[in-house]
Amino acid sequence: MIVNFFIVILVTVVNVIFSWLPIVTLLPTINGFDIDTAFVNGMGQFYTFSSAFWYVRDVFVGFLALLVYYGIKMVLKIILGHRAPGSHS
Amino acid sequence: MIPKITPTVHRFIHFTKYSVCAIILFFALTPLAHASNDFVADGGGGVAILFTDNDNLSGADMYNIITATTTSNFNTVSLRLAQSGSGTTVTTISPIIYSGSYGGTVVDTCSSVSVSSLSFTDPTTHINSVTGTSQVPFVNFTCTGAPMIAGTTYYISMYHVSRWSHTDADSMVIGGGSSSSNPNSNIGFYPYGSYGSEGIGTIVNWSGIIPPTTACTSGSLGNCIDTVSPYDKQSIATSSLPWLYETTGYIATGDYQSGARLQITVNRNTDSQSVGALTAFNSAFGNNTYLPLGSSGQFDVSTSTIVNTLGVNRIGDYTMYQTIQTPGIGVHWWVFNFNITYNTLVSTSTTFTISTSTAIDNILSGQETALQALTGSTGQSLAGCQFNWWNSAVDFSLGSNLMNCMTSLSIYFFVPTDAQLQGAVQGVKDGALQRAPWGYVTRFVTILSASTTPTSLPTWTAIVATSPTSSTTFTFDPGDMLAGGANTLNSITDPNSGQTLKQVAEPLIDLFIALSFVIIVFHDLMAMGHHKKPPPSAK
Repeated sequence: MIVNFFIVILVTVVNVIFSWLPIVTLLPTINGFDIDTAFVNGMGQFYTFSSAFWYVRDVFVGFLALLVYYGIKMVLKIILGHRAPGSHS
Repeated sequence: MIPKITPTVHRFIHFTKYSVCAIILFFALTPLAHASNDFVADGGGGVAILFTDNDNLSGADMYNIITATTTSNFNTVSLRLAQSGSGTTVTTISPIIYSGSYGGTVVDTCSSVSVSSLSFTDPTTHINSVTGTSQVPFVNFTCTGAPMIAGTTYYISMYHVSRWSHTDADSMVIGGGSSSSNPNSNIGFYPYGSYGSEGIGTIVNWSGIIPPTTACTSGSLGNCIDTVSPYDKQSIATSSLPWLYETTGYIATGDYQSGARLQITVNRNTDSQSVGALTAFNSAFGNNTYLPLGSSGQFDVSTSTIVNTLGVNRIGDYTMYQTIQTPGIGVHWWVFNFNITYNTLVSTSTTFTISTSTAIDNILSGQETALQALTGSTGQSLAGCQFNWWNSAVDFSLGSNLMNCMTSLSIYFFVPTDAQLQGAVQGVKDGALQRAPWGYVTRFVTILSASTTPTSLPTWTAIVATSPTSSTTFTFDPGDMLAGGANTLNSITDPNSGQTLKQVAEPLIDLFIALSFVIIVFHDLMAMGHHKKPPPSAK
């Protein structure tokens, strides 16, 4: 109950800060090319493929982990700029 | 001082990169190598699985396993169960389909069917009846899950069949009726929506003799848990506490000698944490009971003392998890799970109810209501706050219950519930992560995650002119190619252990991927703070 109280406050503050930005639910369509549909179809076909060949999904999970790691680095760099770890001013 | 990356480490990193690429390329080309001769025709509504074994579910021997091998690919199946004899059964059946081994990867979960609503009177004369009417010999289960691959042997578990009232004349049979005049021509796996006799392929006919042995006690299908006490959905009076928890089953000699043990975890479903969270909590803090199996082969172990944070001592619904484990090193791909752990051989879960209300139950229930009204949230439990020192049959010592009580209250005050945490995560997702520009990243990650629906690969068709007046059409279906490749891949087994290629290779591949991940991240972290030398032109 106590911890949850602080979590609720934190979530509320974060949501207020970002409340002025538009909500995005799909990837954009550029020059008639629907990027969202292309990714969805591609991943759907990948899952069909990996349902038969399990090791492909294992490798893909490792790739996702790397993606998450570099995503965190990217967020830190955007927020902290040259003060981010590893940045060279 | 941050150490420099030596040339040796550089070479190792490059070797890792190229090895990963080589593995991906090798396995990606596997289906191409078999595409020429493994074009599998579409099932077209025929039977997809043939039974290779028939087993019976009669009386106390209802906990059985059957195996079946697919002959073509399909996504959704219906499993049928037939009954012979007369009488009305009272049970709920929830089949589970595993691949690889019994208790292994769950491929499909099937709909639960309450047989008590059906009346089996004379299956021999209603062999082709339609489910849903009276005098129907079949129970249909709709099973959904991952696509099932041709040539793969699946294990269909009826273990979750609850006990049922029956007479000696009744029996429930997978594989046919009780006489040779009742062929099992309608027993098998069927493509979704097809329940008739049309399109049914070859069936391994049942001879009419009910196999007398139970797989779980003979060990023909490996390690298994046969019976548990309290049995599924059993109601227990508080006057019967403490309960004698008993488990019977079968353990192979090798697994027993390696140190196999039985783990029992019991959670109260209405405790302040959800069952899943409490299970994780109990696992993390060691609130499991471990029992040696005593002997190889058939085992029968019991105890009246189990570990539970909040106590199994008051009315409510409980979930009990029973797992046979052997020691080993659990190698999971996720880098943080490199710990020595126990391997799960087989596990099951059942529910039971402690049903008789006592005076202390009523008092605590009232206090819980007051606490929930005060805090504005439900689900809080004072299960540990029972000081039944006047009843030695139920309890216990004042000290242990005081600890249970304090544990309960501590969890309540300081540990958010699953719902609260999920609400917080969902709040951040809706309020911040779905807004531009982060929303694009969130959407991209969502697509990459498992929420995407599998889509068939596109079919390519080419029309080639063979003369000025005629042409030939070539069609290439990658789905057929995948089926052939997977068929070949899954047919590779180790001659000694009988394990499939996946069972042998997947831990090694996961280990390799995890090591690669660690090395790449480590290399990247070590490079932080190092200024690269400026190019010569900048001097």
